[in-house]
Amino acid sequence: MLRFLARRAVWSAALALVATCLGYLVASAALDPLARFRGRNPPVPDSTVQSVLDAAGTNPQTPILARLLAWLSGLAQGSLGTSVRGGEVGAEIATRVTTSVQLLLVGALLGVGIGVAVGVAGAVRQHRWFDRVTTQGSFVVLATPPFVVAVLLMLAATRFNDAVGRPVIRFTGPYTVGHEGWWAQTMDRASHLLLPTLALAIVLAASFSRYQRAMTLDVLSTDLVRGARARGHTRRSALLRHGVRVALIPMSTYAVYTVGMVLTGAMVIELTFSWHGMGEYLLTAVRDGDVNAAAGTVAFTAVLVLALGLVADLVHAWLDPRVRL
Amino acid sequence: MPDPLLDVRDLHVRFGAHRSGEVHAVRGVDLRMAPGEVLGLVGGSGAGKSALVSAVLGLLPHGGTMTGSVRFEGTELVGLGDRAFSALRGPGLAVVFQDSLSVLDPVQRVGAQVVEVLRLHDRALSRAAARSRTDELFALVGLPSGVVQAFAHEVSGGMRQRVGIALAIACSPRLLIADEPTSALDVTVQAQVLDVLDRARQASGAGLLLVTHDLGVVAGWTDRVAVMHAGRVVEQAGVTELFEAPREPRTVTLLRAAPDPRTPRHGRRPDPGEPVLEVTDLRVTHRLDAGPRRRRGQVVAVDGVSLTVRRGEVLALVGESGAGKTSVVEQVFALSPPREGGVRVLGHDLTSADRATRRRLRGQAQLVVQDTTDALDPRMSVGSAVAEPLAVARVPRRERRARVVGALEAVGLGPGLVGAYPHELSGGERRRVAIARALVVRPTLLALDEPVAGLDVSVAAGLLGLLADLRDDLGLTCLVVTHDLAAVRRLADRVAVMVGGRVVEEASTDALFDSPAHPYTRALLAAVPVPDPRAPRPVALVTGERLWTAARAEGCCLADRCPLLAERDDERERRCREVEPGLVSRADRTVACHWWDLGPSR
Repeated sequence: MLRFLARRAVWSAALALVATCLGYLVASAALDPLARFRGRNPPVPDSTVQSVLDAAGTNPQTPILARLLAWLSGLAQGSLGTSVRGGEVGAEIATRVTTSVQLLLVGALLGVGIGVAVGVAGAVRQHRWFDRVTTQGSFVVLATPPFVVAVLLMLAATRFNDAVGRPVIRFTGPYTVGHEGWWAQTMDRASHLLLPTLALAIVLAASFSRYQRAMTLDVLSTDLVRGARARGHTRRSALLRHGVRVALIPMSTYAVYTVGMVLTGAMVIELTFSWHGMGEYLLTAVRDGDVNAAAGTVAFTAVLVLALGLVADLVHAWLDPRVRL
Repeated sequence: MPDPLLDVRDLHVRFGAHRSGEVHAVRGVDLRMAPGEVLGLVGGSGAGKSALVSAVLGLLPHGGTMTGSVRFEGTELVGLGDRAFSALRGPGLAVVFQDSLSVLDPVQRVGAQVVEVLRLHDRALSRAAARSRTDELFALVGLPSGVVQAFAHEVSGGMRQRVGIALAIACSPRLLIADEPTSALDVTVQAQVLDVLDRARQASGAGLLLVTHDLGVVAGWTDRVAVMHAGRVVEQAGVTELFEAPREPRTVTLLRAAPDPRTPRHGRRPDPGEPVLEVTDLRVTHRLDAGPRRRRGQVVAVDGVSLTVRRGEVLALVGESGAGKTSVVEQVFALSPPREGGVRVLGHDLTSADRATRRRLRGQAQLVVQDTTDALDPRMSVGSAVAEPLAVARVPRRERRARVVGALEAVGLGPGLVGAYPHELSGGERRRVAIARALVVRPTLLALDEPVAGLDVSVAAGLLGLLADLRDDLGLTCLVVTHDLAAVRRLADRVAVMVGGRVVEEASTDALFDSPAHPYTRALLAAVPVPDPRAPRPVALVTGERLWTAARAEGCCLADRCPLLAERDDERERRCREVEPGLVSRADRTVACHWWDLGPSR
């Protein structure tokens, strides 16, 4: 087990390095750090532009490999460089990850949990009303862009607030300024979290329920459940005690990746609800031609993906004794 | 007559598919079993045996309905609620399935599953008490105590069936149903498992409903037999009566199709010609990998095997599962250079053969693999599957169709099947298609891996007849791998017995069956079920199964399991453990045993 972890860590570090370098190269090649200086009035003097770019290490006149080396040596000292807006990219990412975790983790876990439960329930009651309703419902959600789901939720919340007569549900940004005291602040944050969490949970649950339903149907058609019933389990207990765990195994890997990847992948939700999370950061970095910010995000994502891979393997091995680490 | 244990009256089972119409699987069955009775239920595939068993257990698959009456100790089971029925499964009725692997929970230790069943039916039972009861049950079915901690995929097929039996008898059921419990096992393990089943049954005084297609098993282990055909029970009689004076034509057909290893083959076979396949001192090891570039060790599958097959001759390779039979065939017919040992096919040494030679040999040496369902591409029609080797052999396109039809005809299939897809065929037909695909290139050497395993009696009999005809008509040279000794008797000219990766005896078929020399051969023959209730019941002289070995065995590979253990004193035993017995010619055969002339039949 320890040997597995050690080997895996070395391997992952190497892969992360490669991915990071490639990320930096792509960001440098594709983004144009000069763009934001053009068309300014009054025009920015060329010497200023050069010195700003040189300071950030993103001057296109420096050979790209030299820039990469400079950036890597910074990385070795724990710095991801500076953003075009000033400020350390590393520090910015740290703040934004905290925001994203708050915003998305509950929603992602909830979405996966609900999805799995609905999928199992649908498979068990295949073609009955519950299965039909959830199947149709999940297709409607899957066919709706997440952005629309979010806006619809906002509309509903506005109606609700109007009906109650005061703004119970708030949905702009992470909190409202001006609340005093721990309790008031917590309630305020919870109120802000409600809609984004719900939006994410709905979207994820829709896709997860489809996968889980199919997996569960596969397991139900094997003799496993039949065997459990032959030993005296009722239909229900055979399903829950023996069927569901086996059906969860193939889903575990996908679930771990999904929960983890919302950290950088939920930009639509973040933008819609005006949260400054990681997804939004990548978008603004690309828009601003901010090479360091984009490369930093890619580096973070690479590490995240590899870490998730490890977690996924551990979860899989824990659920399924046939897997040997 | 005492109150019946099981009383089935006018039972019908229907499977209603939405559009494709209804299948009437069981059509009015009447069946009674007395407490403690052993009833054999036999019939070909599609006779309705499985549907009947599922109905009695209340475990019909989705879409199945039953009408009529099934009374178990007076309780009506048709229409019984899930909760009440579940309480009955275990202490009342219990079942041993054909393949315990698929019914055991793959992610739970087998011991824990027995504990679970015990506690499910007796809520007052403490965990510790359930554990010790589990240990007793495992001892009763002859499982080593370590198996309690194993997962289902970690133990061999025979052990899994023992676990299945332990699970079934855990709550001392009054009726034990065994649905083809040994069909997937080889004869020595089959005899052991059936004995365990019988012992378990006697210990609990349960009635046993033994469902099987093997009339040898029926003859050896049951009191009374019910013959099913097309959803009906066509005949019920005591086992001796049924075998000696069958009344119904269906029973007669079934009995006639039952292979009997005691019948010698008639007809003279041509003298064999020059060697077509020569294997010398072949060793095959399989690596056990645990990921890329991570070796967990190796398994010695074939440990120095030498064989010669001459033109026009049929050599059978027999032995228990894990003996290395398939590994030999796979190594030879991959036509790749062996890592250790030599293989000559049609005079060409594979170690030095170039690509062009191998390609040419491919058309002359064909292999029909064991699982023909897996070997046929589900999205390829029969015609294109059979035509494929012709493309490899670069036969001109316009000749192919005639060749395909010819090959299908040779295996008794009409040209109408050219456009059919594998899922539309029965198991026997798929087997024939696979054979046609091998024959279409007109090979000189044909290998068949378990050609009749898993087929029902009459289908297997038909296929064996076909193979015998092909052998005689085409003058094929064949290597047949099987653990079905009745098939061997019918097909083979010579037999090589393998165990533990080595050949321990080789002789002409009649010599081997009439006077087996090696103790393992004797054990193998003693374990073959014979379709005759008066014949002695098959016994397992060799116990246990081959365990995978990472290194080659020092002495005899049977040292721990030898049927001659009782005859051996310390001095002899030491010799068995330390010195590997070589193959030595003895008159009409070669034998690898230090003490082959000891023991009861010599």
